[in-house]
Order: sequence, then C-alpha cells, then structure tokens
Amino acid sequence: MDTIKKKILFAEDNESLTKIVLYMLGKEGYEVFHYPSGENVVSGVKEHKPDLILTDVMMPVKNGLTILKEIKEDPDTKDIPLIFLSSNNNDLSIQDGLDLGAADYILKPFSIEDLSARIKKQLNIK
Amino acid sequence: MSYILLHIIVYIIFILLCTVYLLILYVIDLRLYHDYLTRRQHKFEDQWEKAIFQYLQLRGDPEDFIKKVPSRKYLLLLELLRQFLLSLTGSEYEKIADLIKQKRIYDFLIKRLNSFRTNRVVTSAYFLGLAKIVKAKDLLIKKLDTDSQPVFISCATSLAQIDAVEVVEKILTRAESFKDLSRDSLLFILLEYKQDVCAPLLKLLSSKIPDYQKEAIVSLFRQFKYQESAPEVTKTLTKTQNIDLILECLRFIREIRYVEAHYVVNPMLDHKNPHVSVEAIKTIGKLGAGPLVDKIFSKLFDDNYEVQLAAAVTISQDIPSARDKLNKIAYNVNKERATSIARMVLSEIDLRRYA
Repeated sequence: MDTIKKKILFAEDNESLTKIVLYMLGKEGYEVFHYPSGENVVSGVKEHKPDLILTDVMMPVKNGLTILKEIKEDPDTKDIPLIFLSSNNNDLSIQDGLDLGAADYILKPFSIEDLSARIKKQLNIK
Repeated sequence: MSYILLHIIVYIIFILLCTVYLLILYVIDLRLYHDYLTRRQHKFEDQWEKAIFQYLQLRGDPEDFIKKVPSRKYLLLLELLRQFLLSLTGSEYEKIADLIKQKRIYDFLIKRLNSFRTNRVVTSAYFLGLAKIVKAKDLLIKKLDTDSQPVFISCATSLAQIDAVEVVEKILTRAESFKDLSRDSLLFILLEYKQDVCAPLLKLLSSKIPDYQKEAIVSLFRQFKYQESAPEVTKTLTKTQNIDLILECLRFIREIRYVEAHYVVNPMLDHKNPHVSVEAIKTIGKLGAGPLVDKIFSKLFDDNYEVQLAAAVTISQDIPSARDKLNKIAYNVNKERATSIARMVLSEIDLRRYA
C-alpha cells in the first residue's frame, strides 16, 4: 500500500453490505467517505477528490448512472475511476454503465478478495 | 319495546367499543414487540459483528466461534449471518456457511424444521438453503410431502439452492397439489438451481405436465439461454393453444435467435390474439425478417395499437431495409395513427442517439 492513504468514496444504501465493505476497505488501509444515498455523492466527490468511487447502481434520490454522467461532465472529476456495484445481472444495464465510462462493474453478491483486487487494479496498487 | 331496542343498541355499541379497544391494544402490543425484537437484534449485532469480521479475517475455527454464542441467541446470530451470506461469495461465504454447518446450529435448525409451526419450518429451511447445507437434503425432500404451501415453497427453494437436481421432478409433481401455486412461484424455485437442472427439465417439457409448469420451464431455459432445448420448445409452440405458453416460447426463440423456428413463428404474425402477434413481430425481427419485411410493414396499419408499435419498433431496430419507408410514414401529412407511432419511435431513437 502507498504511504499516502488512498481515498475511496463509497455510496451504498444497503446497511449490511455497507458494513462489510467498510470493514474490508478499512482493513486495507483506505480512507473512506461513505454516502448512504445518491443525493450528495457528486458534491462529495468534488469536496474529497477521491482516488476512486465505488457506488451502487440503484440508490435513493439519485442512481449510480446519473452520478457517473455528472462526474464525467465535470473536468475536475472526469478522470476519477468509478466502479459500479450492482445486483442487476442485466447485460443492458452493464453496457449502459460501461458506455458512460464506468471503470468496472462488480455484481452482488461478491467476494471480498475479488472486490479488493479490482479496486487495487484501478488504483494501480500491486 | 323501544326500551328493549335501546338496550340492544347500547349493548352493541359497548361490544364494538370493546373490540376497537382490544384491537388498538393488539396493534400497540405488536408495535412494541417489533421494536423490542429490532432493539434486541441491533444489540446483538453491535456485540457480535466485530467478532464475525475477526473470524473472517483470522480464518477462525467455526466450532470455537459457535461455542461462544449462547443457544438462546442462535436466531439472532442466524439473522446476522443472513446478511453476510446474501452479500458475499467465495471463501468468505464459505466461512460464514461453515458457522451454520456446525452441529449446534445445524441441530437447532433441524429441530425447528421438524416443528409443527409453519414459520419455524420456513425459516429453518431458508437458512439450510442459504448456507447450502447438503446433509439436510433428505429431510428437506421429506418435507416436500407437506400440505402447507409455504413449507413446500421454502423446502423446494432450499433444495434448489443445494442444487438437488434429482428431486426437480418431485418438486413439479408435488407443486400440482397446490392449486394456488403460480407459475411465478414455481419459476422462483427453479431459478435457484444451477444450469444443470435444464437437462432433466427438458425431458419433462415433453411429458404431460400442466401448461403453467411448461411456461415456467421455458422461461427458465430463456434465462439460462439453454440452446439445447430449442427444438423441444419449438415443438411445444406448435402443439399448444395456451396463449401464455405460446408467448413464453416466442420469447425464448427470440432470446436465443433460433432461426430454425422461423416456419412456426411466421404464421403467428396473423394470430387472432394481438399479444401473440406482437411477440411474433419482435421475434421475426430478431431472427431476420427476409421475405416478411412487407408483411411486418403492413402491421404498422393494424387495428391494434400494440401491434402497430411492435412493428414500428422492430423496423427501426432490426430491419434497416424498411427504415426509409418508416421515415416516409413519419413525415406523412395525414393524421393516421401509424404516422404518430412512427414519429414517436423515430424521435425516441434520436433522443437516445443524442443522450
């Protein structure tokens, strides 16, 4: 892990999944900013300038696809990699996300090891 | 006489007031009980969550972990583990499932599975299936003979999660005993299986089973994109008069693009049921319209709105050779419904293109 803590913005409304992911990210030494809905995610990204965004697709107030669109439209945030967490194994939904510029798409339920590896890949951590 | 009547009215009002009072008390009691259970669960989670994370991280011994949990708190533990099992796969899922496989928890679940109380059996079967506890298979199979629909559904679902392919025929047979069991409920059970359930179901598709079961099977084949079943599904399509089953077969053929079914699908363009006609148009669009382009184009002028819309969408998405004609219809000056539909479909495509 790099000496400077990598920052991850994590948006997820499912309480139990949030606990598991927060535990995993904390264990790996990331600095995490959690948002329980899509409402303030975009402003949170502008404020914290995270190294990576990990977000659910279906969330209250604002969904992941809209968040991705807004982040990609802003020159200050457009290069931040965004990984979707989704329980929707729908080819179209995955395609929509990737077309809009998502870096990766992880289906729920997932393995902690897999999630960790894919985050590291986006952050270029070995 | 009037005094007696007044007496009766007062008496009825009194009974009604008492009933309302008792109902209010019951609702308050339910609410308090629910709050109590929630608080109890949260307290347990605060106490044990960290221990579970440590158990996962340090690859702890499941037996040692379970020994620390008092038996009266097993249900609270199971509820906490449920959240982990639903969120995780891979080695962490296995580690959590190992906790449920421990003798103390397993015996607790089996005792409840043999209970006379439906909710106990249902929750027990749920956890046995969620943790994929294969050694509970025989007991779950016995439970399929129940007269209770919730018990049947929960045990059949658990068996599917365990991937007990050998009992799928029994599940279908027993399902027939429950008159209220819908196609969706059956599909919900079957979808818990892995793809290896398709082979035995393919054999059953040609047997004498109710149409709603055939419908669920074809829907399952579609979701698994099970190509091997295509000839049998096509045969089913030619034999049945059941509209729902016809629609499901057409969706399957479209999904896997089974071109050999063209000869069966083509005549369905003119089916008297508009829903069938709609599915046939969409399916032919995906299989390749070929000589049927004009026929599909003529459906733009059908009496039924859904048929017209299906024709317009299919032309715009799947039949490039007819798009110019669709454009001409859209720019027509007359007030035909086909014109409005063509405009709507084409503007939607434009909107998507520039989104």
